[in-house]
Amino acid sequence: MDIRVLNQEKDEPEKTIDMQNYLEKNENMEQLPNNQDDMNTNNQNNTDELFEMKQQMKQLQAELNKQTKLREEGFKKLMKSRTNSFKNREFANIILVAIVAFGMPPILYFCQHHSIPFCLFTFLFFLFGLGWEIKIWKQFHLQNMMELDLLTTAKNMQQYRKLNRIWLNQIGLPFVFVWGSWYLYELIGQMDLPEDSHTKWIVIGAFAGCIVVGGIIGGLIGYFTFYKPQMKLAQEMIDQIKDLEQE
Amino acid sequence: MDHKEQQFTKLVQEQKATIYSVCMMFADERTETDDLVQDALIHLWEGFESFEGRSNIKSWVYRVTLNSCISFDRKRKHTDLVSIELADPGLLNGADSGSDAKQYRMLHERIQKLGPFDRAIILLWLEDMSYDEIAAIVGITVKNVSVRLMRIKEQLKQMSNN
Repeated sequence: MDIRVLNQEKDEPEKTIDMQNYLEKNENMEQLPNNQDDMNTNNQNNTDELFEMKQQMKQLQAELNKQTKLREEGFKKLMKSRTNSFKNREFANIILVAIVAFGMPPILYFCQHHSIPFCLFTFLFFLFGLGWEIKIWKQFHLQNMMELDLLTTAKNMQQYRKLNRIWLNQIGLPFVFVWGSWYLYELIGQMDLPEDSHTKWIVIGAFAGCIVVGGIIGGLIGYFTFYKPQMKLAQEMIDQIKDLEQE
Repeated sequence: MDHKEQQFTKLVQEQKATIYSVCMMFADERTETDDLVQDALIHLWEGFESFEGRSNIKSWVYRVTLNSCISFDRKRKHTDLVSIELADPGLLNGADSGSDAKQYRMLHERIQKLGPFDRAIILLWLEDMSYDEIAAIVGITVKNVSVRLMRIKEQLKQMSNN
Protein backbone atom coordinates (compact mmCIF):
# COMPACT_ATOMS: atom_id res chain seq x y z
CA MET A 1 0.00 0.00 0.00
CA ASP A 2 1.52 3.30 -1.06
CA ILE A 3 0.56 6.74 0.03
CA ARG A 4 1.57 9.90 -1.73
CA VAL A 5 3.42 12.47 0.32
CA LEU A 6 1.70 15.79 0.17
CA ASN A 7 4.39 18.29 -0.55
CA GLN A 8 5.22 20.82 -3.20
CA GLU A 9 6.09 18.15 -5.73
CA LYS A 10 3.19 15.86 -4.99
CA ASP A 11 2.70 14.78 -8.57
CA GLU A 12 6.07 13.12 -8.87
CA PRO A 13 5.75 9.33 -8.56
CA GLU A 14 9.18 8.87 -6.93
CA LYS A 15 7.98 10.87 -3.92
CA THR A 16 5.75 8.02 -2.78
CA ILE A 17 6.55 6.04 0.34
CA ASP A 18 5.86 2.51 1.38
CA MET A 19 3.02 2.79 3.90
CA GLN A 20 3.50 -0.75 5.20
CA ASN A 21 7.13 -0.06 6.11
CA TYR A 22 6.11 3.18 7.70
CA LEU A 23 3.47 1.43 9.81
CA GLU A 24 5.94 -1.19 10.97
CA LYS A 25 8.56 1.37 11.87
CA ASN A 26 6.18 3.68 13.67
CA GLU A 27 3.85 1.17 15.28
CA ASN A 28 3.91 2.94 18.63
CA MET A 29 3.34 6.35 17.24
CA GLU A 30 -0.32 6.29 16.52
CA GLN A 31 -3.37 4.19 15.93
CA LEU A 32 -3.54 3.94 12.18
CA PRO A 33 -6.72 3.05 10.35
CA ASN A 34 -7.20 -0.36 8.72
CA ASN A 35 -9.00 1.02 5.76
CA GLN A 36 -7.60 3.95 3.82
CA ASP A 37 -11.10 5.22 3.13
CA ASP A 38 -11.58 5.70 6.87
CA MET A 39 -8.39 7.59 7.27
CA ASN A 40 -8.88 10.51 9.55
CA THR A 41 -8.12 13.78 7.78
CA ASN A 42 -6.40 15.24 10.81
CA ASN A 43 -4.09 12.27 11.19
CA GLN A 44 -3.32 12.47 7.51
CA ASN A 45 -2.41 16.13 7.82
CA ASN A 46 -0.24 15.50 10.86
CA THR A 47 1.60 12.68 9.15
CA ASP A 48 2.09 14.77 6.03
CA GLU A 49 3.38 17.60 8.16
CA LEU A 50 6.05 15.41 9.67
CA PHE A 51 6.99 13.82 6.37
CA GLU A 52 7.33 17.23 4.83
CA MET A 53 9.57 18.25 7.71
CA LYS A 54 11.59 15.09 7.26
CA GLN A 55 12.19 15.94 3.64
CA GLN A 56 13.09 19.52 4.49
CA MET A 57 15.54 18.25 7.08
CA LYS A 58 17.19 15.96 4.57
CA GLN A 59 17.42 18.82 2.08
CA LEU A 60 18.88 21.06 4.74
CA GLN A 61 21.50 18.49 5.68
CA ALA A 62 22.42 17.93 2.03
CA GLU A 63 22.77 21.70 1.61
CA LEU A 64 24.87 21.98 4.76
CA ASN A 65 27.07 19.13 3.57
CA LYS A 66 27.72 20.99 0.34
CA GLN A 67 28.19 24.37 1.96
CA THR A 68 30.02 24.02 5.25
CA LYS A 69 33.76 24.38 5.02
CA LEU A 70 36.29 23.28 7.57
CA ARG A 71 39.07 25.74 8.09
CA GLU A 72 42.18 23.78 8.98
CA GLU A 73 43.82 26.41 11.18
CA GLY A 74 40.75 27.26 13.21
CA PHE A 75 39.85 23.63 13.52
CA LYS A 76 43.29 22.64 14.85
CA LYS A 77 43.09 25.50 17.31
CA LEU A 78 39.65 24.34 18.36
CA MET A 79 40.81 20.77 18.92
CA LYS A 80 43.58 21.99 21.18
CA SER A 81 41.32 24.39 23.01
CA ARG A 82 39.82 23.29 26.26
CA THR A 83 39.48 26.68 27.82
CA ASN A 84 35.78 26.85 27.08
CA SER A 85 35.08 23.65 28.92
CA PHE A 86 32.81 24.16 31.84
CA LYS A 87 34.77 21.78 34.03
CA ASN A 88 37.95 23.75 33.47
CA ARG A 89 36.19 27.01 34.20
CA GLU A 90 35.07 25.51 37.48
CA PHE A 91 38.66 24.51 38.22
CA ALA A 92 39.88 28.00 37.31
CA ASN A 93 37.30 29.40 39.76
CA ILE A 94 38.71 27.22 42.55
CA ILE A 95 42.24 28.49 41.92
CA LEU A 96 41.03 32.10 41.82
CA VAL A 97 39.01 31.83 45.04
CA ALA A 98 41.94 30.09 46.77
CA ILE A 99 44.29 32.91 45.76
CA VAL A 100 41.83 35.52 47.04
CA ALA A 101 41.08 33.59 50.27
CA PHE A 102 44.71 33.26 51.26
CA GLY A 103 46.08 36.40 49.63
CA MET A 104 43.52 39.08 50.41
CA PRO A 105 43.36 39.00 54.25
CA PRO A 106 47.15 39.55 54.69
CA ILE A 107 46.98 42.46 52.22
CA LEU A 108 44.01 43.93 54.09
CA TYR A 109 45.78 43.55 57.43
CA PHE A 110 49.39 44.44 56.65
CA CYS A 111 49.02 46.94 53.80
CA GLN A 112 45.68 48.60 54.49
CA HIS A 113 45.73 48.15 58.28
CA HIS A 114 42.20 46.85 58.62
CA SER A 115 41.01 45.29 61.86
CA ILE A 116 41.55 41.61 62.69
CA PRO A 117 37.77 40.80 62.81
CA PHE A 118 37.33 42.28 59.33
CA CYS A 119 40.29 40.32 57.93
CA LEU A 120 39.05 37.16 59.63
CA PHE A 121 35.55 37.70 58.24
CA THR A 122 36.99 38.11 54.73
CA PHE A 123 39.14 35.00 55.11
CA LEU A 124 36.27 32.84 56.45
CA PHE A 125 33.92 33.95 53.70
CA PHE A 126 36.37 33.13 50.93
CA LEU A 127 37.21 29.84 52.63
CA PHE A 128 33.50 29.00 52.55
CA GLY A 129 33.44 30.06 48.89
CA LEU A 130 36.37 27.77 48.19
CA GLY A 131 34.53 24.86 49.80
CA TRP A 132 31.45 25.64 47.72
CA GLU A 133 33.43 25.73 44.47
CA ILE A 134 35.15 22.43 45.33
CA LYS A 135 31.74 20.87 46.04
CA ILE A 136 30.47 21.97 42.61
CA TRP A 137 33.66 20.85 40.90
CA LYS A 138 33.64 17.41 42.55
CA GLN A 139 29.96 16.88 41.80
CA PHE A 140 30.26 17.65 38.12
CA HIS A 141 33.86 16.81 37.36
CA LEU A 142 33.51 13.15 38.25
CA GLN A 143 31.00 12.45 35.52
CA ASN A 144 31.40 13.05 31.85
CA MET A 145 28.13 14.81 31.22
CA MET A 146 28.38 14.58 27.47
CA GLU A 147 28.27 10.79 27.65
CA LEU A 148 25.09 10.71 29.70
CA ASP A 149 21.58 10.79 28.28
CA LEU A 150 19.94 14.13 27.57
CA LEU A 151 17.57 14.09 30.54
CA THR A 152 20.33 13.33 33.07
CA THR A 153 22.58 15.97 31.53
CA ALA A 154 19.80 18.54 31.67
CA LYS A 155 19.07 17.68 35.30
CA ASN A 156 22.75 17.98 36.21
CA MET A 157 23.04 21.28 34.40
CA GLN A 158 19.99 22.62 36.22
CA GLN A 159 21.49 21.53 39.52
CA TYR A 160 24.77 23.21 38.60
CA ARG A 161 22.97 26.42 37.66
CA LYS A 162 20.88 26.24 40.82
CA LEU A 163 24.01 26.02 42.98
CA ASN A 164 25.46 29.01 41.14
CA ARG A 165 22.20 30.92 41.57
CA ILE A 166 22.15 30.19 45.32
CA TRP A 167 25.73 31.36 45.52
CA LEU A 168 24.95 34.60 43.73
CA ASN A 169 21.60 35.48 45.31
CA GLN A 170 21.76 34.10 48.81
CA ILE A 171 25.45 34.21 49.64
CA GLY A 172 27.48 36.38 47.26
CA LEU A 173 25.29 39.49 47.07
CA PRO A 174 24.52 39.72 50.81
CA PHE A 175 28.22 39.25 51.50
CA VAL A 176 29.18 42.03 49.09
CA PHE A 177 26.74 44.33 50.86
CA VAL A 178 27.98 43.50 54.37
CA TRP A 179 31.64 43.41 53.36
CA GLY A 180 31.38 46.66 51.39
CA SER A 181 29.70 48.48 54.28
CA TRP A 182 32.24 47.20 56.77
CA TYR A 183 35.14 48.07 54.44
CA LEU A 184 33.73 51.57 53.98
CA TYR A 185 33.29 51.98 57.73
CA GLU A 186 36.90 50.99 58.39
CA LEU A 187 38.20 53.11 55.53
CA ILE A 188 36.43 56.20 56.81
CA GLY A 189 37.66 55.44 60.33
CA GLN A 190 41.22 55.49 58.99
CA MET A 191 40.71 58.86 57.27
CA ASP A 192 40.90 60.72 60.54
CA LEU A 193 38.19 63.21 59.63
CA PRO A 194 37.28 65.94 62.15
CA GLU A 195 34.33 64.82 64.27
CA ASP A 196 32.80 68.28 64.69
CA SER A 197 32.36 69.05 61.02
CA HIS A 198 29.96 67.70 58.41
CA THR A 199 32.83 66.46 56.27
CA LYS A 200 32.66 62.94 57.71
CA TRP A 201 28.99 62.58 56.88
CA ILE A 202 29.44 64.09 53.44
CA VAL A 203 32.13 61.51 52.65
CA ILE A 204 29.99 58.66 54.02
CA GLY A 205 26.97 59.94 52.08
CA ALA A 206 28.94 60.23 48.85
CA PHE A 207 30.31 56.71 49.16
CA ALA A 208 27.00 55.20 50.18
CA GLY A 209 25.11 57.12 47.45
CA CYS A 210 27.49 55.88 44.75
CA ILE A 211 27.14 52.30 45.98
CA VAL A 212 23.33 52.45 46.15
CA VAL A 213 22.82 54.16 42.76
CA GLY A 214 25.46 51.99 41.04
CA GLY A 215 24.02 48.89 42.65
CA ILE A 216 20.47 49.66 41.52
CA ILE A 217 21.49 50.45 37.92
CA GLY A 218 23.79 47.43 37.70
CA GLY A 219 21.19 45.20 39.30
CA LEU A 220 18.47 46.27 36.85
CA ILE A 221 20.73 45.79 33.80
CA GLY A 222 21.83 42.38 35.09
CA TYR A 223 18.28 41.33 35.88
CA PHE A 224 16.80 42.19 32.49
CA THR A 225 19.69 41.25 30.22
CA PHE A 226 20.94 38.13 31.89
CA TYR A 227 19.04 36.85 34.91
CA LYS A 228 15.48 36.97 33.56
CA PRO A 229 16.19 35.24 30.19
CA GLN A 230 18.29 32.62 31.98
CA MET A 231 15.52 31.97 34.47
CA LYS A 232 12.97 31.65 31.71
CA LEU A 233 15.10 29.09 29.91
CA ALA A 234 15.82 27.20 33.12
CA GLN A 235 12.13 27.12 34.02
CA GLU A 236 11.26 25.80 30.57
CA MET A 237 13.78 23.00 31.05
CA ILE A 238 12.58 22.19 34.56
CA ASP A 239 8.95 22.04 33.37
CA GLN A 240 9.87 19.65 30.57
CA ILE A 241 11.97 17.48 32.86
CA LYS A 242 9.04 17.22 35.31
CA ASP A 243 6.68 16.51 32.46
CA LEU A 244 8.88 13.74 31.09
CA GLU A 245 9.41 12.17 34.48
CA GLN A 246 5.71 12.11 35.26
CA GLU A 247 4.80 10.26 32.09
CA MET B 1 48.25 16.34 12.32
CA ASP B 2 48.60 13.15 14.30
CA HIS B 3 46.54 10.04 13.69
CA LYS B 4 43.87 10.93 16.26
CA GLU B 5 43.42 14.40 14.83
CA GLN B 6 43.11 13.00 11.33
CA GLN B 7 40.46 10.54 12.44
CA PHE B 8 38.56 13.24 14.25
CA THR B 9 38.71 15.60 11.26
CA LYS B 10 37.32 12.79 9.11
CA LEU B 11 34.51 12.22 11.60
CA VAL B 12 33.58 15.89 11.63
CA GLN B 13 33.71 16.06 7.84
CA GLU B 14 31.28 13.17 7.65
CA GLN B 15 28.97 14.40 10.38
CA LYS B 16 29.16 18.16 9.90
CA ALA B 17 25.64 18.42 8.47
CA THR B 18 24.22 16.59 11.50
CA ILE B 19 26.16 18.74 13.96
CA TYR B 20 25.29 21.96 12.19
CA SER B 21 21.60 21.20 11.71
CA VAL B 22 21.11 20.29 15.39
CA CYS B 23 22.90 23.45 16.49
CA MET B 24 20.85 25.55 14.07
CA MET B 25 17.64 24.24 15.58
CA PHE B 26 18.79 25.09 19.10
CA ALA B 27 20.26 28.49 18.26
CA ASP B 28 18.54 31.85 18.45
CA GLU B 29 20.64 33.59 15.87
CA ARG B 30 23.56 33.10 13.53
CA THR B 31 26.39 33.88 15.96
CA GLU B 32 24.84 31.56 18.48
CA THR B 33 24.82 28.75 15.92
CA ASP B 34 28.58 29.22 15.51
CA ASP B 35 29.06 29.18 19.27
CA LEU B 36 26.94 26.06 19.64
CA VAL B 37 28.86 24.31 16.84
CA GLN B 38 32.17 25.21 18.47
CA ASP B 39 30.96 24.05 21.85
CA ALA B 40 29.75 20.77 20.36
CA LEU B 41 33.05 20.28 18.52
CA ILE B 42 35.05 20.82 21.71
CA HIS B 43 32.90 18.26 23.53
CA LEU B 44 33.16 15.82 20.64
CA TRP B 45 36.93 16.24 20.63
CA GLU B 46 37.09 15.72 24.39
CA GLY B 47 35.00 12.58 24.20
CA PHE B 48 36.56 11.24 21.01
CA GLU B 49 39.17 9.15 22.79
CA SER B 50 36.63 7.39 24.98
CA PHE B 51 34.34 6.86 22.01
CA GLU B 52 36.83 5.04 19.79
CA GLY B 53 35.87 1.42 19.32
CA ARG B 54 32.18 1.86 19.92
CA SER B 55 29.73 1.04 17.18
CA ASN B 56 27.07 3.65 16.51
CA ILE B 57 28.91 6.81 15.60
CA LYS B 58 25.83 8.73 14.52
CA SER B 59 24.05 8.16 17.84
CA TRP B 60 27.17 9.25 19.69
CA VAL B 61 27.49 12.44 17.62
CA TYR B 62 23.83 13.19 18.25
CA ARG B 63 24.12 12.48 21.96
CA VAL B 64 27.12 14.76 22.43
CA THR B 65 25.75 17.55 20.20
CA LEU B 66 22.34 17.57 21.87
CA ASN B 67 23.87 17.46 25.35
CA SER B 68 26.16 20.26 24.34
CA CYS B 69 23.25 22.37 23.05
CA ILE B 70 21.15 21.76 26.15
CA SER B 71 23.98 22.64 28.52
CA PHE B 72 25.26 25.56 26.46
CA ASP B 73 26.08 28.52 28.59
CA ARG B 74 24.32 31.45 26.93
CA LYS B 75 26.07 34.05 29.00
CA ARG B 76 29.36 33.14 27.38
CA LYS B 77 30.54 35.66 24.84
CA HIS B 78 31.08 34.79 21.21
CA THR B 79 34.53 33.26 20.88
CA ASP B 80 36.75 34.09 17.97
CA LEU B 81 37.43 30.51 17.04
CA VAL B 82 35.33 29.89 13.97
CA SER B 83 36.29 26.60 12.46
CA ILE B 84 33.30 25.90 10.27
CA GLU B 85 31.68 28.40 8.02
CA LEU B 86 28.72 28.51 5.71
CA ALA B 87 29.18 29.68 2.15
CA ASP B 88 25.68 31.09 2.07
CA PRO B 89 24.56 32.81 5.28
CA GLY B 90 21.11 33.13 3.71
CA LEU B 91 20.64 29.46 4.42
CA LEU B 92 20.36 30.34 8.06
CA ASN B 93 18.56 33.63 8.04
CA GLY B 94 16.41 32.96 5.03
CA ALA B 95 17.03 36.35 3.49
CA ASP B 96 16.82 36.55 -0.29
CA SER B 97 17.96 33.02 -0.80
CA GLY B 98 15.07 31.48 -2.61
CA SER B 99 12.36 29.07 -1.63
CA ASP B 100 14.74 26.52 -0.06
CA ALA B 101 15.99 29.07 2.44
CA LYS B 102 12.41 29.99 3.21
CA GLN B 103 11.60 26.35 3.84
CA TYR B 104 14.57 25.94 6.17
CA ARG B 105 13.52 29.04 7.98
CA MET B 106 10.03 27.68 8.39
CA LEU B 107 11.42 24.39 9.64
CA HIS B 108 13.65 26.28 12.06
CA GLU B 109 10.77 28.44 13.29
CA ARG B 110 8.52 25.45 13.90
CA ILE B 111 11.14 23.46 15.73
CA GLN B 112 12.19 26.55 17.69
CA LYS B 113 8.69 26.85 19.10
CA LEU B 114 8.95 23.44 20.75
CA GLY B 115 10.46 22.88 24.18
CA PRO B 116 14.11 21.75 24.38
CA PHE B 117 13.33 18.05 24.84
CA ASP B 118 10.61 18.01 22.20
CA ARG B 119 13.07 19.71 19.88
CA ALA B 120 15.58 16.93 20.52
CA ILE B 121 12.99 14.19 20.04
CA ILE B 122 11.69 15.56 16.74
CA LEU B 123 15.22 16.11 15.44
CA LEU B 124 16.11 12.51 16.17
CA TRP B 125 12.88 11.31 14.60
CA LEU B 126 13.54 13.41 11.51
CA GLU B 127 16.91 11.70 11.34
CA ASP B 128 15.12 8.34 10.93
CA MET B 129 16.30 7.03 14.26
CA SER B 130 14.38 4.18 15.83
CA TYR B 131 12.29 4.69 18.95
CA ASP B 132 14.81 2.64 20.91
CA GLU B 133 17.66 4.88 19.82
CA ILE B 134 15.69 8.04 20.58
CA ALA B 135 14.77 6.67 24.02
CA ALA B 136 18.41 5.81 24.78
CA ILE B 137 19.72 9.21 23.70
CA VAL B 138 17.06 11.26 25.48
CA GLY B 139 16.89 9.02 28.55
CA ILE B 140 13.17 8.23 28.48
CA THR B 141 11.16 5.09 27.78
CA VAL B 142 10.14 3.98 24.30
CA LYS B 143 6.51 4.47 25.24
CA ASN B 144 7.33 7.96 26.37
CA VAL B 145 8.92 8.69 23.01
CA SER B 146 5.74 7.69 21.19
CA VAL B 147 3.58 9.79 23.50
CA ARG B 148 5.81 12.82 23.06
CA LEU B 149 5.80 12.43 19.29
CA MET B 150 2.02 12.35 19.32
CA ARG B 151 1.99 15.60 21.26
CA ILE B 152 4.55 17.18 18.97
CA LYS B 153 2.32 16.30 16.04
CA GLU B 154 -0.55 18.06 17.75
CA GLN B 155 1.58 21.12 18.33
CA LEU B 156 2.70 21.14 14.71
CA LYS B 157 -0.90 20.89 13.64
CA GLN B 158 -1.76 23.90 15.75
CA MET B 159 1.18 25.81 14.29
CA SER B 160 -0.04 25.11 10.74
CA ASN B 161 -3.56 26.17 11.68
CA ASN B 162 -2.26 29.40 13.10
